[in-house]
Amino acid sequence: MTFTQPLGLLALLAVPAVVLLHLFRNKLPQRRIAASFLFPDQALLAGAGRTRTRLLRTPSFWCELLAAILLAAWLGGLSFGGRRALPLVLVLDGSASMAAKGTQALAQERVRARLAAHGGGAFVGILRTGSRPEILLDPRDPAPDVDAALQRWAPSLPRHDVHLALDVARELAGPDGEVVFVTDEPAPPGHADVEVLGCGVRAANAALLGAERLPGAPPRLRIRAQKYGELPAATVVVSADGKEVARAAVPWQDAVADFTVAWPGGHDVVAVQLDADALAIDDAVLVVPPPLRTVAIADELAPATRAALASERAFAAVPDWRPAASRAEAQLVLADAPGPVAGGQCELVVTRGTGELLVHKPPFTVDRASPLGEGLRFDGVQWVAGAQELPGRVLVAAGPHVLASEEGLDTGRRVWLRLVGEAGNLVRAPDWPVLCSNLVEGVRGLVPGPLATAVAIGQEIAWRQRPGDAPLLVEAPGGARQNLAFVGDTGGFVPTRPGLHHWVATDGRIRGTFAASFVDASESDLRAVVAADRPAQAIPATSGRASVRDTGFERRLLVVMVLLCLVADWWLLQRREA
Amino acid sequence: MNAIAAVVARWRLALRLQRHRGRLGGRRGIGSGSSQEFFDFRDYAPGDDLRHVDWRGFARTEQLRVRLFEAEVAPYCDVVVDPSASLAVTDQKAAAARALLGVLLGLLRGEQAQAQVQALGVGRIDPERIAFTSTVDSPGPLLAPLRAQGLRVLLTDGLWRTGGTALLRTLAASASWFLCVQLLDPWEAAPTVGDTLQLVDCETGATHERRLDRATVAEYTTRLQRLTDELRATVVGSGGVFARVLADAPDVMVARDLAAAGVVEPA
Repeated sequence: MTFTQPLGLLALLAVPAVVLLHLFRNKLPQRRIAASFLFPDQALLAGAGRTRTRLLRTPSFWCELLAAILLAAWLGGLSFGGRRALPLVLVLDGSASMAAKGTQALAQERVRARLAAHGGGAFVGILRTGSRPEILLDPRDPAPDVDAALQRWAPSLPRHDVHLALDVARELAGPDGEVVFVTDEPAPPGHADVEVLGCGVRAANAALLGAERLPGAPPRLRIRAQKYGELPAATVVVSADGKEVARAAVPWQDAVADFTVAWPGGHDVVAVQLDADALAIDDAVLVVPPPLRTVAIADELAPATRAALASERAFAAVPDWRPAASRAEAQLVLADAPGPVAGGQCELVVTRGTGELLVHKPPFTVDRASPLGEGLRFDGVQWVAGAQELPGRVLVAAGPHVLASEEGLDTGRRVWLRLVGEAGNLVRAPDWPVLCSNLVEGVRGLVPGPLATAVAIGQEIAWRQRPGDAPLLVEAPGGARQNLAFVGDTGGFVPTRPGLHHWVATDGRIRGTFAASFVDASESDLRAVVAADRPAQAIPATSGRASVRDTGFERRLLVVMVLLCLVADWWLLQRREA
Repeated sequence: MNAIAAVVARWRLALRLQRHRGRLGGRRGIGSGSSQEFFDFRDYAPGDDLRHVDWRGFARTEQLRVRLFEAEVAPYCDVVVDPSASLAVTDQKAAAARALLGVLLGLLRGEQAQAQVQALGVGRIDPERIAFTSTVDSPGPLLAPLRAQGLRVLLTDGLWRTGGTALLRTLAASASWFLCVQLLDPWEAAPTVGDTLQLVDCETGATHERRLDRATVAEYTTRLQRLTDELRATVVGSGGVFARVLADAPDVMVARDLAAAGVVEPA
């Protein structure tokens, strides 16, 4: 027994509390009498006034005192050694192939059989593998519910590393405990102390690899599929709003199919479903329109500069942008002089330089690592500008002269361009619209909203938040809502279930939709799954020092004794009142 | 009331041969009267009824003497009730006090007694409206005059600190028959051992916390017995009858306590 537990020490305060309550209590049952002078004087009162009485060692007092001591012992973890228990931690493979027809049921049956063989009095823990292992059943749970843990297993992940989960399982089990890995994959290397239960059921399977809307008039729906093993003829069903709108036979060519069907008119979201086979999770794909990520551009250039740069003509060739009403809502700001730059903004400052104009001719040095320099050639370009030192990282330079640079700010960034537009021929060269396009594409990622509308299970999808916006949640199929993991203004979410997900504000308003689909050929191929077991090859020697003891019986006994004391106290008090 | 009437019908006061004063009635009175029972002789005086002259004695002694006969009276009776709040310390005791008073009055009526009820410190009262509210811890004065050579009954619990002896002697003096009934609650006679209580004196309101262990209860019982013995000695020593009654149903109190004390006998 130890009282180093803070709760145990705190609970010990209940003992003097009970004594004080009895010492200072002044509520005794009353009885009217006719001749108090017949009773002998008795020093029940310890002093003047009626505040403290002599400690009455009544049965009720002893019951309450005993209950306080037992409660302290329970919270302090009283134990006389307990029973020796052998921990057993089961690691369930969370990869999607474990959800194949027959595999999951077989695995659950084998888990129950393994638990039965392990015997009672054991600590049982269940983990699910994944990029972050999840504990489905805590080994310290005093009332373990194995069935509930198995219900929450739901394998749906693409292939992933299982070593982390096995390491966590070993930590939970301790050196004496057993770790059992339930999987359909070969035994993982480096974990010889782990017993492997092979539950694979080999089968032929077909999977959708993807579907997309092809632009055109009329638009088409492109579908790609692959089969693993010999399968009869397959069909795909295209549906929208829950109704079938098209059906087509899959034209297999060397186990691969890549074909198109007509896009159902009037629908934005369509579902593509393959015939049912061994693995259901890879038979469905949702096609959702890509997100609208229109860049807002605030043009604060002087009219003369705007005309010299021919910016309107240059940006006319760039898709998906719009003029912003103010600098505050813009992602890209065009200006003659530096101004305030907010978070999520990029400011292009076009400066003429000072002094005598210089004409710079190729070759120019371009930072190809920067997206702004992509596709720039500057063939035959004469770049005219005055002299001026530009801050930040050099993007374009002519010899020692920096012509363009990028400056990182505390909030946002600024691109400097030293250029006299009306002189030279840069604004008339093909590189000028390319540079403008690079600028716009460079800030497209700063547009608030979803960065994508389709994601594969196991991969992260992100939402860029506007400063000051309420936090978002993700509503998975079935209605379960989860918080986003935010880094700065960007929140990420990794789906684990296929289907249509919603970005939901805290007030319940749906702000966007994305589709999660399962795509992993290694999991869809069920021809090589493993059904063989592997016993633990090298269990560490029992040290005895680290053996786990089951003190549950003692703790339950203490709880029962506390309750008995309280019931007895209640009964005594009721009897006294009567 | 039916229970009281039933008790009165089954019992009567054991008055034996006492002589009483009272109005004309059917009980033996003090002095001569007009009954058929011979009482005494005395010398003839002018005006005596010649029918009562003892002519045979005159023939032997030549002295005129007349026969006297016993008087028959309806005895006077003074019922004195202790109105202290202690008689209503529990509902059971208060009910028993009222029932006992009713029984005693009924038994007295059976003896053709002319009962007057008075409460100590109050005076004459209607027995139906008696209130046990006095908070004085000594007996109050007798405000209504007592009638000599009458029956006297005192209903009390006798739990006075002082003054009880003087009252009892006053009541016993010049009474033809004096009965003192001490009524106690069962808990008063034998408190429960083991309780810890806040005792509230019903007369003074004083509170005391007491743990009624065996020693405490034993000491209390000893003191109560001593007090009772003093009352009994005073009553019996003055020629009266003392009865200690535990509050209960009327028939039980009469059969168990009054009959055992020789106060009543089967009718």
